[in-house]
Formats: sequence, structure tokens, C-alpha cells
Amino acid sequence: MDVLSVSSMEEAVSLLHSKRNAAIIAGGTDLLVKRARNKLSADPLIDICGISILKGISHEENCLRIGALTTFAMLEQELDAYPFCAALKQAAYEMGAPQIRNRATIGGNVVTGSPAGDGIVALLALDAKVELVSESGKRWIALCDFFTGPGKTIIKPDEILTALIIPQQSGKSCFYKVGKRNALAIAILSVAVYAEIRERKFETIRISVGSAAPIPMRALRTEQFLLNHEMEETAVHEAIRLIRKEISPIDDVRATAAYRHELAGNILQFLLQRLGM
Amino acid sequence: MALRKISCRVNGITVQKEIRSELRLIDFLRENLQLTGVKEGCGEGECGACTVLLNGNPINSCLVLAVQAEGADILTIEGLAAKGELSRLQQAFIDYGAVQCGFCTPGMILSAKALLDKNPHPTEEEIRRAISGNLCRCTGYQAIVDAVQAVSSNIPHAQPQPLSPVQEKDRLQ
Repeated sequence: MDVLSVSSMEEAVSLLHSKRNAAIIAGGTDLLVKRARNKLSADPLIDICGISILKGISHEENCLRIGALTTFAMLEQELDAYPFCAALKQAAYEMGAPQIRNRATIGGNVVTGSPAGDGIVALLALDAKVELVSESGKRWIALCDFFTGPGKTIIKPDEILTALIIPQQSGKSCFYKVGKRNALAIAILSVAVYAEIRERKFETIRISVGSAAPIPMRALRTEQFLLNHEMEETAVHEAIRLIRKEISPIDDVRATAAYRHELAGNILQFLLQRLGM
Repeated sequence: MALRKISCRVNGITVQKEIRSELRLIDFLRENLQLTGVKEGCGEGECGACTVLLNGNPINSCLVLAVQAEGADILTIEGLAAKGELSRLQQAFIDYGAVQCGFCTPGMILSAKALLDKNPHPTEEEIRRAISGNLCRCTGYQAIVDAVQAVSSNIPHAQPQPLSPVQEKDRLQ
């Protein structure tokens, strides 16, 4: 297997275009696990770690631009400056372990497309867009339209995910994950909520759930119900009932579907209470 | 077979080699440089036995390609006692009985070193979080945390607390 290291986007997209069986490698914490399990047939690997413009968070007009190569360790440190992104900071804090957070990138997390992806769940609640670049140009797509199945996305073979774009917002967000242990836990279930609450009413609300369906999902029906509703007990109870109906988790090695249904409601209640405070 | 040249610093020494491009960093360190203090446990980033410091930060060397370490500064356990004298952290691991089978120890010490380099006086919680990516299957975490705490305390040469009879019994079992 050949590994080609590039230092510019031009090089990267032209190589990806010309090498049919190529794959992109960044932090490698997903890709090299796949290889260790003999599930990687790509050759060559194009190492994009040297493209420095893809690293870090920048504040642009009305939005945050998170470069695809921003590591979870960097997210954990730098998101304090953007309190409305608390959900993403928390997801970064809980993802993997220090060794993984020092290498794993947010772009990789999104492209891997795991239904359990911690970063993805937080980004969904923050209404992020992905930026995709190929030789033929750039396109932007809402993250909620990016996933098509477990580990499957709409990214084309010649495209590179270059950034996550989050609109600047005035509300609050939070994230909660239940796993088997604190470190290196794949979510049994995770929920992120973004809300703008005025006079106890939900003026904006977005809820996303991980490990609850074949893709990381938005709980749109639960959101629709809560929108413009007052934050009070009966509304929260109805939201709990709705989110349990809306998700479609499975039984697997980590937990049963029944337990995940239970968790989804309980975590949502906990997060709504926290945001209401 | 695709070959690539790599140049990096390992334990303070500049190294230049021609290697197979798909080689993992762990293989480069163990096989090309004979630094066998780097251990392979799971090969999937779950156990932390292969932890080394890359530019001061702990990483799993089983999940990094050697060519990705081009130009980097790498520290393995062999680099801690480079002049033949154990570092304070290594000595504390011995003093506190923090080494049982020893397989996790190099990674554990390097994770702790990365923490102490950035945060010389961490809380117990910070220590536990810093070593959360390193599994010890002898289940000796308390002694490990104690050893790191001893180095991080303000006392220049911390003395280990004598073990209680119960701990002593556990230790011997």
C-alpha cells in the first residue's frame, strides 16, 4: 500500500481524482482500525494532515468554520470561546481517550458516519453544514442530509470534506452520552439539544440522537411538538413519549432496543431541564 | 512495495530511514529502531499499551502511520532514562508498587508524563482522566494514581505511604 502525503488542497483533489482506488487518511483512528480488521482495500492512501488551512476554528461572518482536520483535543480547548457550542465541546470531552482525541479529527468523525458518532450528534443539534471540495468545485450540504446508512454518506469518491460550518446562534446547547464506561465508550445512546428559550417558550429547538437509528438522526417530530410550547411538565412528558416513538434503535452487543427507548426519554428530560435552568 | 524516506527525532536523536510506506509508527519504533518498550496490545487504540508522545502529546502508535510522523519529535519510554538514571516518575512507579506485570507501564508512564508536563499539580480526577486511555489488566490503578500524585506533589522526593496489611496482602496475591 502506498501513502502519498500532500500539503495543499489542489494536490489532494487532483490525486483523489486521478487515483481511482484512493482513500483519504487524516488522524487515522478510524481508518487504521478498519485496516487492522482487514476491511480496507483502498490504495493509495492520501495523507491530508499537512494541509494546514484545514486545521482549527475560525469565526467568519455569522458562522463558525471548523476545519476538517481540527482534532477533538483542539475542539475541547477552543470551543470555550463559543458558549452556544457547549454540546460539541462536551462531545469532544467525552469522545475516545486522550490518545484518540489528540489524533482524531472532526472531519473524520463525520465522514466515518457512525450512527453513534459523538461529534456528529452534537453538530446535528447545532445545525451544521458540511463543505465538500472536488476538482469540479465546492458544495455545501446540511449535515442532516449527509448520512444515508450506517457508515454511508452522500460524499462522492472524488470529494474531500474540508469543513463544518455552524451558524452563529444565540441559544444554548448540551450533550449527554450513556456508555459502558467514561473513556473509550461507543455511545449506547446519546442526545444533543440546542434551544432558544424566551419567556419559558421554545423559540427554536433542535434535538439529535445517536445510536438510535441507522443514521445519527434529528428527532424532528419531537422538535415540532416542542416548538412554541411552554417549558412545563406536561409538554416535557409529551416530548419524552414522542422521542421514544420516533427513534428506531436495535438490540446489539452494547444494549437492548428497549433500554435505548427508555434512555432516549430520560436523557431528553434531563437535558431540557438543564437548558430550562 | 512502496518505500518512503522518513526523518524525525526519536528520544532526542535525529533518525533517517527508508521504510515501507504503510508501516505503522509502532512497527517503525519496535522493528526498525528496536525500541521494544513500545508494546502492542489490541492494535485498535483501545488499550494504550503502544502510547508514545508525538510532539509532547500521547497518541496510540498503532493508529499512526510512520510516515505521518515525518518531522515530529517522538518520545518513547526508553527516552526517559536516557542517561541511565530513572526519571522521578519511573522511580515513583517502582516505589508505589504501580508496576505489576509491566505490560501497560511504558504507556501509562508516558500518559502521566504528558499530563505532568502541561499540568504539574493535577487533581486525582485529572490524573485518572489522563490515564483513561491506558488499560491495566492487573487492575492496579490506585497505586498508579498514587505514584503520579507523589511526583506531582510539592514535596521534592515524596516517600510512599506504607501499605496497609490489606493492601499488602492484595499486592502479594
